[in-house]
Amino acid sequence: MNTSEYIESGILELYAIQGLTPAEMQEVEAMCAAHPEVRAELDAICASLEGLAEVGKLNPPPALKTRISSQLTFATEAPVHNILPGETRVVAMNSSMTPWYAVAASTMLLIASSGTAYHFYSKSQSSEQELLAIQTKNSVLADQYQNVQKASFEITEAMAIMERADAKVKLMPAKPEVTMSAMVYWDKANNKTYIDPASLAELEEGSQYQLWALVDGKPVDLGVIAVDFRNRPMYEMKGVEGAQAFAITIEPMGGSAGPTMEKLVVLGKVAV
Amino acid sequence: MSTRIQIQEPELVQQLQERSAKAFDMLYDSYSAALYGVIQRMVTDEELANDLLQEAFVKIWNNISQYDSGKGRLFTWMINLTRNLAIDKLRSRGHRNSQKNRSLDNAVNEVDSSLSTTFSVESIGLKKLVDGLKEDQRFIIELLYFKGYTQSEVAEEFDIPLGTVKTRVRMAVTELRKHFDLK
Repeated sequence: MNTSEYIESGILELYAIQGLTPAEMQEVEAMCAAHPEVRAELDAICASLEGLAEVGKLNPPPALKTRISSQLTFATEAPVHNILPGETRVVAMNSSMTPWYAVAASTMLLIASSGTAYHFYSKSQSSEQELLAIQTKNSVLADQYQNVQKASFEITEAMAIMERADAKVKLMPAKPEVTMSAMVYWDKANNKTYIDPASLAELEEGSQYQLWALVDGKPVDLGVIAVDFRNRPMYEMKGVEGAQAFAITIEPMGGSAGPTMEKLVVLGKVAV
Repeated sequence: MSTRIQIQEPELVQQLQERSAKAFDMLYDSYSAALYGVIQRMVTDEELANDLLQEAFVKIWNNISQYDSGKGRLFTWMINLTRNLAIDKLRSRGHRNSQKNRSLDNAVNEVDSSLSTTFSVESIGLKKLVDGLKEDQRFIIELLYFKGYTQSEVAEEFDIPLGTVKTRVRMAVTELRKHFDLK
């Protein structure tokens, strides 16, 4: 088959709409790699399907963006500081509630970094390379400082949530073979639900924990628990009213519309 | 077609791989409406559509390293990833419907995800475009592209020879291409 016959066979269109088996897909990819004109044809087909998506645009509800970004892990963008000898640095703390150890740790980090900087700087003022090394080290320290600050802020937050919660519900194993537990903090007054997932087991790739409330005997989805749930002490979930119990199931990535009962791991009743 | 983002794709991909919050903003602002439109045509339930958009962006975010620019553009990759999630959902829901007298999830609203040739959401542009297709072409695109049927499923279920399915897909896509002024 020559390339124009191949193009006219309709296989590229099927590839673009994903109507082929993996073996057929590989064949198309090989053809594309070997023949630029086949590749160009496939690109044009894909572009027309992109066009179809483009004309069918529909704005999602505005609140969805925040909800989605709360499920993602972002890189912390640490600023690179140039600390020169004699320079003093005033660091504003986030709030008066920052624990003393964060202040102490960060002060020590800053003293250490200034000291290191001065040592190197006076030793070889002319060497740009060494200055670069200092800057790198410094940005590492700045990173560490940010992490300490972030962790202390999260702990403070978590403590405030625990204090505000009207109901603290311990979720216990639903089956004998389950050995984990979790804690739900329910702030009824503000219609907020939080989870401390610390003792949940790691999940295999492609699965996610999902929190449910039982309201009048019916399950209500309170959202999936972030994949990196070990990184923070507390996660905010969807709010709920009138919950009698909370439960966690293991669901496919992104969660399910209804709980998969065979994958129920922990549950707990709200004390009346 | 107009380029929808201010920076070039390779640069955006790089920034996504670095997990930059700015890159997420740009990605979301440029593509969420198009992906949401695709989802809304595939599932009718709004809450499910919202969940799917979330799932899609989480997956795009987590799997960006798997995107291979050698195989096609980022937008196409994102659309296909989103369609696949929706298709999985349509299929698993069908599955759940069939064993419904078991448990709690009876109470959860099931969406009517049954095959429908009427589009749940139609912008004027899209309507015009799809109206430009012949009925049989429209039907094929709807089944394969928006309902996740495989070509042999279409052939079997609607009693259309496999070769004809291929021809119709090709004609439908060719028709679509005319509308996008592609050079």
